[in-house]
Amino acid sequence: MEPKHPGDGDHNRRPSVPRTPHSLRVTFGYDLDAPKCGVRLLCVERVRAVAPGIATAPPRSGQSGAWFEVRDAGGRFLYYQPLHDAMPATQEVFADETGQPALRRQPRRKRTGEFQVLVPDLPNAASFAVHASIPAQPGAAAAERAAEPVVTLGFDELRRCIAHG
Amino acid sequence: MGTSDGFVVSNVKVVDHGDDALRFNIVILGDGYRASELAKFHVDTDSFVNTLRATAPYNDLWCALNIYRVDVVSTDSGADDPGTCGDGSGGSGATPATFFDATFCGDDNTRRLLTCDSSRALSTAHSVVAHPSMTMVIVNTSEYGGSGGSVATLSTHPDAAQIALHEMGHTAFHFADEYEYLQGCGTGEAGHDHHGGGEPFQPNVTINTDRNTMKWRTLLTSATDALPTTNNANCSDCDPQPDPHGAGYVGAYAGANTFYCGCFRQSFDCKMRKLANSFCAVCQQVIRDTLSPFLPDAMPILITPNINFQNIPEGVSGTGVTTFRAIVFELDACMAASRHLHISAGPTGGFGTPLGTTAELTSTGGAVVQARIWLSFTSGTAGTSAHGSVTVHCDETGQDFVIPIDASTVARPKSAIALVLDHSFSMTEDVGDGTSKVDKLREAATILIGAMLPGDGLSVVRFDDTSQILMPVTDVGPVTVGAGRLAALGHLGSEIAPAGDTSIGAGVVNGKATLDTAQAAASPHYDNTAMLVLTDGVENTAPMLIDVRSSITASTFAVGLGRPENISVAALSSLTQAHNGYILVTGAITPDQAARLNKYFLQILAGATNANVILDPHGELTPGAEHRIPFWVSESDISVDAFVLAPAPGFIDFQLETPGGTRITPGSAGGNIQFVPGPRVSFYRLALPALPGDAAGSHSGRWNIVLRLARIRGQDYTHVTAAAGPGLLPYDVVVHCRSNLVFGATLVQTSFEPGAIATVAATLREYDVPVDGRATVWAEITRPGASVLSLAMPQSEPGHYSATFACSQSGLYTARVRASGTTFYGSPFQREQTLSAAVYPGGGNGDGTGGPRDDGTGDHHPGTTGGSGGGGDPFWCDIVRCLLGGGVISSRLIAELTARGLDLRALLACIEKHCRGRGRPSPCPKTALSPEAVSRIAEVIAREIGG
Repeated sequence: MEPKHPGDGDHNRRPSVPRTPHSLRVTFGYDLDAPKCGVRLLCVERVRAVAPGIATAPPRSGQSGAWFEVRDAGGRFLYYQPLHDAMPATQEVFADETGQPALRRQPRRKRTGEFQVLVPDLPNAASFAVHASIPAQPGAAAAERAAEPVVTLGFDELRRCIAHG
Repeated sequence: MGTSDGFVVSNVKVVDHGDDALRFNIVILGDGYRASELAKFHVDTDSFVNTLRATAPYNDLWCALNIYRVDVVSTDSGADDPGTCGDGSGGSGATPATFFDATFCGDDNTRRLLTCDSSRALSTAHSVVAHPSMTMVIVNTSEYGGSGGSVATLSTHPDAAQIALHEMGHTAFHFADEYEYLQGCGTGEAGHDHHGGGEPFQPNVTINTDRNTMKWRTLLTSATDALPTTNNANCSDCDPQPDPHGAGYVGAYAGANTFYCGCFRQSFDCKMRKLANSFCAVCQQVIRDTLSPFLPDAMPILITPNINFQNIPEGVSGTGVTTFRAIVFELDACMAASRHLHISAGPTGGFGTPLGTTAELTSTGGAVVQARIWLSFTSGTAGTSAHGSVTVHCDETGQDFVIPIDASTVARPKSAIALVLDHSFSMTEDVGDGTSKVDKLREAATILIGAMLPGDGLSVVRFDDTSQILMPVTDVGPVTVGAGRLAALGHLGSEIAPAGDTSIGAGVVNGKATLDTAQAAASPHYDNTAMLVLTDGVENTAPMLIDVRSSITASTFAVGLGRPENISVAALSSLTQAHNGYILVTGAITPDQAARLNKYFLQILAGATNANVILDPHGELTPGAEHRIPFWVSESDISVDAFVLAPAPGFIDFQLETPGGTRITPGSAGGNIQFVPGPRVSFYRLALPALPGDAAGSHSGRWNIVLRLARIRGQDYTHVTAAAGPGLLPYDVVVHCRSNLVFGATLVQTSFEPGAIATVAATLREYDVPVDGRATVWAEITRPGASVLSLAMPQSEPGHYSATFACSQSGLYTARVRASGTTFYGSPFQREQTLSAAVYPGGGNGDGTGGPRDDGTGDHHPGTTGGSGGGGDPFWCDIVRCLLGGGVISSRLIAELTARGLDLRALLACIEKHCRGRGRPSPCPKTALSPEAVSRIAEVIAREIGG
């Protein structure tokens, strides 16, 4: 059960994100056959890059799919982005032959991999989390299931993990 | 396979909108291109970039993107094409060695799945830019194929670019697929009938069809149409029903996110459902929101980091000069943008904001635009200064610009003018309106003296065949009663009574001498020195102009009183053009142009003191009529002089109407307004703004001069007839200004013979910056015979305008050069200046000699275009010139000859014509003539008279 946060009350208001080129690129590894997809932090790099703008309402409890979020010490959203197919179980394929759908998805044999997110390094950022819909059992469809936290970190933990050299 | 199969050559930023840290960076890599095929890779990249740019909404967001092309050479060409694939298709079996190992059938099951080593692709992209937002690999094969994920891969097939755009929708904008199946319609697949579960977090699919809460509620096409827009009657397969609405309709269509039912998409078809379609409205909005932080700021740039009102002159009559300076901002926006600027603090230090405190920068994208906020400063007394600052805030960017302001007041620029006046015998002649030339000269000089500014210097020099300085340069003193003015007027009586011959050069030498002496003694120096030479004749006595002109340093203007063929037009033109001036020739003055000489003097006064002429019309007042003569004054103008010239200006009720509608009358004089009545001219002198209590309404805008005949103590208008003569009361209006918008015009001729080409040129500068593209300039050419030619003067370079016309008829051409336009701030302005051109047979080549010249060696040289003479006897020409110009023939003899019917003027013209080919006269010995010489002179005179 996702904890209640003070920021959850105002669901449709997108946070105003300072436009800063100071960001963290965070790399995660995953294993779809492991519990909670085996999501683990691999690497944090400081990069000079502006993070993309927010285009959706803040995430709510019970939503499906995947996203990452940054909150302040009061639990208010500072930043978030959807993650579409960050840990894909299927792969989109194409066809131009008659009788074939131009777009469709095929099961993906590879069950492990990495994904990256770009997170603005905001001064009042206190926590970082990745939420994702987890299949009931390995191999089952996950898309419609309510997302749950698969990574939860203090933001300072992220900063401490910044790679040097 | 892999890195041993090629190498990275270089990268090129093919779309560059600035700092990579601030933009959405797309890196395009090539695979399967041999070195010899890199040119093809460039073409393929350009093709994709063009497709991307043509795809909405990227076309509007282009400035947010940087795109790098990375040239990678592979050992072999193309991509792997396995001989067999899980879908049963067969390939060529080719296994080219390529850098990113691109291969069809990338999952061993689907032929069209073209994949590459995405880790290597990302690593390569990271070596190019710190954070690639999107990495793509174009594979050198024309077979249709591609794939998505962290790296989008596409072939060079014409339709493959759409795969990359679709995959970019997933990777960069996190769109869900909008198709309702996983493997395809009619496949009977299980587990995709009902979505169930929670609301998808992706922005383009939903399970919520409540129009008040659904995620794209603000983009719904209809506020009343039922939702969902469609339902699928068979949740085990794709919905076969067609689109109930047209393309572009935003609603809630059943079937999305790979489920047949329970999940809805925004539009019937979108690029996230079918590759060939556009992105729908919801996807476009998400792309806009996501890319908005990457758009350039469109930050206003301050072009004027400080504002200086340095060395602003003291005003006229104790009123300060109000000057404007602009705070200039610039916006170099990649795309359409508006920036609102306003003064948030200040200005301190006593500076004004006469034209508002706001400005707006509006760019349509791609071009630099400017906006101005104007400050004003009113000068004090010489030697004082002021300092302050102003803060301007930009609403959109939050920038605050603090701009220091400094000002200082200096003494008003002073001018010294030498009037060099011809009083040769011919000045007794009627000018054409029943007035003698000398009286006409007295009238014009009196007007000029009355109009001079207090503190300016004036000298009076006369010449006939000799020259005398009647009055050295003297401060004219206050208006009307200044001692210098009165002294100068005193010299215009008997001291310029006509007598003798014509040595313009002698007058010019004395004019130069008096100005040089005054300048050497003046402290501070005069800012302008100028000479006004008036003559009605042909120089016939040394020193000649050609011999003295090189020594002149003052600006030199000339007025030829009479017909051009009787005046040394060529020599005077050459003299004035070499010294920042010009010549005006009156021609025969008819009664309806009685004020022409007066106007010419006033115009030259303006030129000599760096003032500008705003307008110069003529009219006639009738009883009961009110004439309103409009003229434009701009914020660039500092002061205005408005003259009414008339035979009896005292009988004219002369008022000014400000742009704000206030009437200024003679009774309004005081403060910034001065009214000076006179016998031939009355004028207002205004320091702007004329009414400090109504500064906005009495400076920039359309003014009117309002004229009507005045009733004097109940008399009817017969008093006008008594004063001005029978008929209507003619008047001329002249308006001058001192301004930061300066107009100047010149006229040069190829020769002074009929057929010459005259070039009229004009310049316009505002605050020393060329008036570029904001003005129209033209000339009204009045030809001999009074026909008028309107001559457009196109801009040849910023602030420069010119045109030519042919002087085919012998006689005088009067060019009224006019300009109208708008100032920096958009206020209308007008300017004009009159110039003269003249051609006549024997007019010469324009080198100032009027014909042949003498180089001082004792030899005579023919002129380039010649005169009409050349056959005269040099001895006799010298003799006759010597007699006429050497004081041998007395004024009394000349008067007697005239009384006896000898037209001396005709005689002199005849001799000049006869002797033109003989050059300058030889030095004239001051000895008595022998009887033989006298006899031969008599023969010549008799022959000339007889001819």
